[in-house]
Amino acid sequence: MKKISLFKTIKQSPRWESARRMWYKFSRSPLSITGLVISATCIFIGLFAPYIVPYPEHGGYFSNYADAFIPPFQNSKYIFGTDEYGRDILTRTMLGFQYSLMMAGVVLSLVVAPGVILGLIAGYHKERWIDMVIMRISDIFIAVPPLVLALAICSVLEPNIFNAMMAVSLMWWPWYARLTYNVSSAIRNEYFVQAAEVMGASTFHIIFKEILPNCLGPILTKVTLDVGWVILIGSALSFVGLGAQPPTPDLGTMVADGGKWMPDFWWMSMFSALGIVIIILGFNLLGDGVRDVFTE
Amino acid sequence: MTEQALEIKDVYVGYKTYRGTSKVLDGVHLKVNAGERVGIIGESGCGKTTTMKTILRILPTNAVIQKGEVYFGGKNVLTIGKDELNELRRKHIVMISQDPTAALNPVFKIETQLIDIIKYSEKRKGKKTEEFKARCIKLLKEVALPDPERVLGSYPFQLSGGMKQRVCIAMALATPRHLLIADEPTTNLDVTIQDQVLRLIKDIAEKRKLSVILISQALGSVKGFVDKVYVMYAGNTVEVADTKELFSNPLHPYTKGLLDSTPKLTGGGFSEGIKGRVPDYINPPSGCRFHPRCNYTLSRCEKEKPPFIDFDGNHGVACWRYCKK
Amino acid sequence: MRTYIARRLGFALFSLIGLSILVFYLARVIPGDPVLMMVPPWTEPEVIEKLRHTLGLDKPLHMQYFFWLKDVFRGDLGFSVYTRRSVTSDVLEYLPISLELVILAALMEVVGAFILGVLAGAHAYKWPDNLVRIISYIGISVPSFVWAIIFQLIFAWQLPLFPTGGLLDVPRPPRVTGFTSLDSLIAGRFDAFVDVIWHAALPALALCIGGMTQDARMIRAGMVGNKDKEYITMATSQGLPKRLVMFKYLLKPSIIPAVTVMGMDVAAMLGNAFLVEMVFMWPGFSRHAINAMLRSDLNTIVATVMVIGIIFAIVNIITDIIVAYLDPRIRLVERGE
Repeated sequence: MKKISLFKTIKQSPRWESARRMWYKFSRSPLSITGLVISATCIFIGLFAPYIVPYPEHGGYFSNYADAFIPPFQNSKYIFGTDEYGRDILTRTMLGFQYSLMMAGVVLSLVVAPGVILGLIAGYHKERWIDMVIMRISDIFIAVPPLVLALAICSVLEPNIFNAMMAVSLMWWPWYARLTYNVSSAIRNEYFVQAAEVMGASTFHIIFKEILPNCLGPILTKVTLDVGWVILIGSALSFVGLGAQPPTPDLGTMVADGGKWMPDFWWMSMFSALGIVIIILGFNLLGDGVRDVFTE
Repeated sequence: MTEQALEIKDVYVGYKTYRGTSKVLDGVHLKVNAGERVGIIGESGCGKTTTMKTILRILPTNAVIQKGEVYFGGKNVLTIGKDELNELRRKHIVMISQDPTAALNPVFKIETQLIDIIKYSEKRKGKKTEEFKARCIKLLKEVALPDPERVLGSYPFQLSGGMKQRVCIAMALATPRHLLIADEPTTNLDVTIQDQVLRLIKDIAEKRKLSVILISQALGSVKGFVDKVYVMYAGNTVEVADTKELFSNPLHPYTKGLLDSTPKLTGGGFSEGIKGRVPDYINPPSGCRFHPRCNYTLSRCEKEKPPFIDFDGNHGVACWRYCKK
Repeated sequence: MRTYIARRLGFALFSLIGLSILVFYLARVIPGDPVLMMVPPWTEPEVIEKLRHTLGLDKPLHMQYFFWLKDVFRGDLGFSVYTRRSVTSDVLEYLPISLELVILAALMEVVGAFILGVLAGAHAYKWPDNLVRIISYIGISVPSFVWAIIFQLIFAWQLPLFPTGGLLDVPRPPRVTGFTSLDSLIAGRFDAFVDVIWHAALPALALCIGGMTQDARMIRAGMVGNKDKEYITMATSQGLPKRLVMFKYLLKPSIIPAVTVMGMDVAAMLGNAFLVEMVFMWPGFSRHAINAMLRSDLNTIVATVMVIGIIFAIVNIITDIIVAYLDPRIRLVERGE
């Protein structure tokens, strides 16, 4: 009996082929690759920040007033300078990446699956009562700009990063439900779905094996772009004071705190702001690349 | 009168794609004398529309005209300036395209599009809209559209395919021209409408004494209408002859195969068709582009491209078999 | 067309009612006892009960909701524990100021997007297009409050071209409409009018620049995508002048998706304005709302969400109407056709 290599089997499967094709298409755009590199770097920093920052203890309550207000690029000890407590800005910015990406990760993992499932169900049972119910409920959340709702929810809760994440999750899921609904209700009437129905496939099979794979493109694109959006909203919440509280090194909080010292000690706000911009830029470029892969 | 003749000489056009340059037109020639009616037949993708677009210089942005000349009225259309080109389009040559739905702007009423053509063709401003509108109604009546008022006030998606094509014809005739290019005008229409529209084009061409280039897949409609027929394959002109001559005595193997493929009412079953497929324009076959599909190849066919030979007076063909050398 | 508008209105109304229920319950249920929050901690229990009864807070929640709704229709949005006066008067004072900023920002966004987008579309793949593309990448990645800080730093602190904050430096004109700029005109005070606009310039720019660049890119994408479409090449082939083809026949179908997004941006602007208002100390509604939120002033929070929701819905409906006007296929095709 010949031993069949598992690796070889995977390599020849159609899934691998389409993955290769997608990668080929993706890699032809230099901007998408840039986005991938930036996002990957940010994720790396976010994951390993506590281990690679020069002064891990500066992330919490710490004061060294002798070294306070040092401008950036002056000495090699504090490359980005220090804040009013003498804490290294580079350290805090990198730790801030961790918080921001954690927020994005938590929110999206909570939100994507339920939102997508609800959207699929509503899209499949279009024009029936369950569609109406799900969509009307999600419309309520979409009736105001996301930021406002997040703020309102946060304001009635105690201000901390956990509640901020809950608030953002609560108002984020309807966007996934609506997106999936739009895509799946269009696919739902395609011939291959009707063929599956006629052959007696179960609803579960149709929704998850026939319709869902065709929705993956827009969903994946949205997830990637949403990392940027969630971080934006998270930093806006912290900026206002409703998210992470000092001394947590959240990027938005740092921008707000540094704002007090403008314009003389500009570096306290600027580097955290730059951090926000880089994360959002990276994931936006990545998201554009993902979108291009899925649109022929 | 020979001033208004059209001559396409040895034109090479390519499209730039991410896989390379697609060398679609590989030395096309065509000649239409004033008042003459010429037909072009060939498979989908053989470059007929590209050739027509080259005449009017409305090729898409990724197209490259590599070589060749197109003469109309003594001037090379490919090198004239913008103003002259504009004049050519306004006054001399006009095209009706295959898909009337795509040819009409979906967010403007028929009225707007038609009036603009009339208004800007003669550069006469200051005329009243009512006057233009009256002209439009007259035009629509000429193309046998019932209820012209309603059509004028409609948007393209509110009209049927046949009506849209008639509107396109009306747009083409809005101002006097010399050469009408009809690019498969009936292919996308219902069979019952096809005949009507074709007859309409015929009547108009006769009435206005237009030169016509008719591109068609339907060999029958070409037969009844044109004086001369060109056969194109894979971006080459492979044969030309007077209509009767071509259909009774086709020379090029491709033409023979094409005419054979049409099922005949007189019986004889179906032919086998032509083996193989339309070539890949990015890596086209060497020598004669038809040689992979040809049943009568000589050794020369693979190596060199055959020149266009004048076989017998008005009958020309590009095939090594007929080359006396 | 009328059925279209009617349907959209009904839809919006439903969403708003649902929203009001959601926010109301959130505001009442989550934070705990509202009465306890209003009074100093040493108050006697009888006084608390009496207060609760007076305010109707001892009734069941759904009855409270209906009372609240009734009050809203009468124009009474409740009492603000933050400003110690009626929420309605707070809204009437602060909302027009924010609207001034938002309207200026909206105008800037639309005009800017069109100019940049058409420039990029008309010269596709050449330097104006690449420039607009780079600007748009930066535009979307930088949040509006970061723009606000940058603008303030560069154009107000370093180069004293614009004021660093506030509404105006000259004395304020008497209040007629609440819109400072209109009031200035009514009072004949052109200096105040110009001053308000000058103060609003930087914050409005910060507010709209992200959206502006996105819209410009969408317009550019629309133009480039439609440029090779058959109806455009046919129009060119018929000898229509290039200007006409580009700015009439190409532009109209190309801007439709961009207009939709522009409308959504403008609709959301009031809600997103607070970030900018905070940085520039613009005494607007959003900033007031944030302060109220930080102090858990529930009535203001609820009122804020409702006001922003209503404006959001109205602007979205207007956008839909504009889009339906631009694209006849939307307004004339009935459902099921």
